[in-house]
Amino acid sequence: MTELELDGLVKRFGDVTAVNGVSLTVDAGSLVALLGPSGCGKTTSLRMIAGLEQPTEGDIRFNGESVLHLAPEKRNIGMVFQRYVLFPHMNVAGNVGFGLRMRGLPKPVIAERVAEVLDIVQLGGFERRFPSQLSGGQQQRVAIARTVITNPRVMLMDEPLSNLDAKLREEMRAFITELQKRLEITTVFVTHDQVEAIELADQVGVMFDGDLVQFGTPEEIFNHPKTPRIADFMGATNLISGTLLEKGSQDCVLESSVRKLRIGHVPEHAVGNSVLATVRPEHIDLSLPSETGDAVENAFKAEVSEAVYFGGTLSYRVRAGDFSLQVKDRSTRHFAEGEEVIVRIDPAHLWVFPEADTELHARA
Amino acid sequence: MPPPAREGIWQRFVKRFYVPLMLAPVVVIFASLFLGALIVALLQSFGYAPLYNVNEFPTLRNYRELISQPGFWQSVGLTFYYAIVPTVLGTAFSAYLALVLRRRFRGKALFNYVYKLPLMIPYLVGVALTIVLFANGGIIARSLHLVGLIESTRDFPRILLSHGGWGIMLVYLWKQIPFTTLIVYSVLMGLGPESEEAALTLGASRWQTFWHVTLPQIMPGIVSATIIVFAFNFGSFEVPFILGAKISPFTLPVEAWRAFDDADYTRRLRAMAIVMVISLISSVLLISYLSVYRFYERRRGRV
Repeated sequence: MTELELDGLVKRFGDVTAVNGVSLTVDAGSLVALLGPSGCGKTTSLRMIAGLEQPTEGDIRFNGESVLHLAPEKRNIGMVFQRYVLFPHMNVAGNVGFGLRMRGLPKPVIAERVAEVLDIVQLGGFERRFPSQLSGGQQQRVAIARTVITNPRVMLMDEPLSNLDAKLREEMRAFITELQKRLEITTVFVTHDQVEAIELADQVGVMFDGDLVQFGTPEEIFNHPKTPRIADFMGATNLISGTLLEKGSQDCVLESSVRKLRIGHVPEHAVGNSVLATVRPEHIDLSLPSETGDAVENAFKAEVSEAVYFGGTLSYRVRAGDFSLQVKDRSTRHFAEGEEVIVRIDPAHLWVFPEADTELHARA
Repeated sequence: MPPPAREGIWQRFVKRFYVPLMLAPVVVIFASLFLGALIVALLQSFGYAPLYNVNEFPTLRNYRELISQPGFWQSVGLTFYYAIVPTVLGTAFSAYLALVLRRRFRGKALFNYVYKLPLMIPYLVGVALTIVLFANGGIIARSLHLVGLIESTRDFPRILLSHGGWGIMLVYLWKQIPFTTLIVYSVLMGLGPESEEAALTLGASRWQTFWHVTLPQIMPGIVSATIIVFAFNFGSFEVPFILGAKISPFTLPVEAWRAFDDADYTRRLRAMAIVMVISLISSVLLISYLSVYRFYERRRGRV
């Protein structure tokens, strides 16, 4: 198994800096997702690991050894592309066995390995089919089989699911997770889909404008985003600004425009500082005033200003004065627009950002 | 509600014959110019030429006499030689050029424009250029003599007016390399770099990638270009007529012209027999080539 290390990786195209000093370590046998919007430098980082782009600065190491001097074909990596990129003039067996053929292995060995790997990707019996005769999901599985057959030291996946429909994407996600765990190949997975990253990865690196802005476990990224921009990208759209009133040993209190809120962790900010906090829409409880009084901790009265049904979930916008929150409620209850409700936020789900990007701070 | 208006005769006629009517201009031109000429040539080659007071139809005499001439097979060989060598050399060079053109290099925009220039210039200009440059009294021979590399301009290798035909083939290459490059380059651009990148990441060397991944995918472009270029070279008249050797054997089209241009009008029937032989050889070869290629594509699940 191979540990992959990116050390201060920079890539400039003329005046444009596509990747700006990315450093991270992918533990041997683990899967790291590079997550970010289009143009954030995640694919360029992947291409540098593959050797398809040469870094302007920095180093890439496999088990501590730099691979910068190695051409792509010498790095023993496998790459799965967004558009599958199967060789259209070769059948499934030809595509899957390609890497072994190029290494000069004898035909019977290749045939045996191809059959073995096709069984793993559940495409046994498809050997003689051509790519044009396969569905999108099957093509992507052939692309994965073609990659894993060579026992790559590192597997690189460039948005491999984005060309598939929603149902197939879900199936393929489960398939990739299972396969990666089974084969224990160190994998870097590039995606702009936060759900994909959270579900698949052992660790997630969030990238914006060429910078790696946060690297951590999916839980950390999801629940404890470093900046409002990361929170926004991860779907935590609620920003609460206020002043840090007091800090205890386990919690702190935030003075917001609507009420004092207890927060279940202790940020590094000093008491008296203006801070920005967030809570995910699905972590807010709504109830009727007749059920819960607003004397309960972290609860306040608000009015439903918008209610939209999204298959299985009701999305609300609630307002209390100039304070507005988005709420996602999976319960069967339905609050009507204009109705008065009690909003309650569990202190454990409130998070004070350790850093703040100015533009979103201003918006809050 | 008023009943639907009945269609007039004209509307019904147009509706029924819409496609044939739309195709008519092309069909008329094709039928009159190409098929008409072919039929006239075929009839004349079989002895029907009342215009020249000859009517032996049907006779194979023209073909028999043609084939029995010892010079005929030399002409066939020479025509093949002038057609195949530049086609093969030009295709190989064009494929290489197209691959180079994909890379980023200084002056690419200018080069991209300049290499296409011969496409816009007539063959005859290429012929003139070749004479000016490569004749024994041409610029290159004189320059070499001037710097003392050859004693006399007569020592310069005979490129023009010889059966070696390098002058003829140079003109073909000058005109056809840009053409084939343009076609192969367009196919390459359509492919994008990803399949080559995939091959590299799977451990294929640059050469293996070209041989196993790039070449099979640009084959449709290469085949189309090769067919057009070969067919042109095989039937080309003016280039071998001007730049070829002035003694027998001549290429088949030049032979045809010499027979056609003879003071004895009855020899025009022989010319038509040669023209028919050229068409027959060309068609058989191109159909066989396409069949073999289609077989190859079918084996790869493409057709």
